[in-house]
Amino acid sequence: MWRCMWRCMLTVVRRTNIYLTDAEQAGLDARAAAEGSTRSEVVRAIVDRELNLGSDADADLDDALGEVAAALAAHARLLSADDVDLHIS
Amino acid sequence: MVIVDDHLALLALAGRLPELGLGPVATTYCFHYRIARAVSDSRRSGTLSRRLADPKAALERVMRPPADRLVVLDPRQSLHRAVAVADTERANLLLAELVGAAVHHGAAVRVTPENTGRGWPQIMAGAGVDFGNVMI
Repeated sequence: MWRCMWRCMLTVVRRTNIYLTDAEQAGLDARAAAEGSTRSEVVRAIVDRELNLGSDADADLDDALGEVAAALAAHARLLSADDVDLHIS
Repeated sequence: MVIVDDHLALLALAGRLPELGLGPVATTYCFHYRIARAVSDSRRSGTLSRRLADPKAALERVMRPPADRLVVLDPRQSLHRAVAVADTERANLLLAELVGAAVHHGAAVRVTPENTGRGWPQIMAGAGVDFGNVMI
C-alpha cells in the first residue's frame, strides 16, 4: 500500500477504466495479495513490462544512438547485403 | 501509424526522429533484426564501438524498445498479406513483410533513400500504400 502511494506521489498517473473478466480480476487480486501490493500496481507493472517502459530514458544513450544511427544503418546494409531474405533489392 | 526502416527506427529509439505527422512509429521484425544484428556486431568495428560508449546498454535498448518510442510489429498478424506480396511481386522477406504489414495495418511507410529498393515505389503504389522517403 505504502509502495503504491509513494509511486503515485512520484509518478504522474491518470485514472482510466477498463473492462476485465472475473478470471482476470481474480488473477490480479491474487498476485496483488501475494506481493502485498494493489490491483492497480500489478496492472501498471504488467503494462510497463509488456511495453518496456520500466526504466527511465538515458539521455547519454539517446545521444549516442542518435549520433551513430546512420553508421549503424550502413552497417546493417553491409551485413544484409548477401542475405536473400534481408537485403534491399 | 507509420512503419519505418532500420535507420529511422534507430532515430525513433533515440528520441531523435523528426515528427512525421503520421501517428505512432513502428517497424517490422526484419528491420528490427537488422538493427539488433548491427548493434551486436558493432563490437567488431572499432569506430562504432568507440562511438557507442556502452554497447551492452545500446543492444538492450534495441532489443527491448520502449513502446512509446517504437513498436515492433508482430509478423504473424500480417503473414497472409506478406505471403500474397511475395507471390505476386517475387519480393524477398524484408519487402514482403513491410508491404504486408502496411496493408494489414493501414499504415504509411517511410524509409531513407539508401533503403529504397529499385521497384519499391511501384510495388507500394500497387498495394495502395502511402510510401515516401525521409531525408536525414
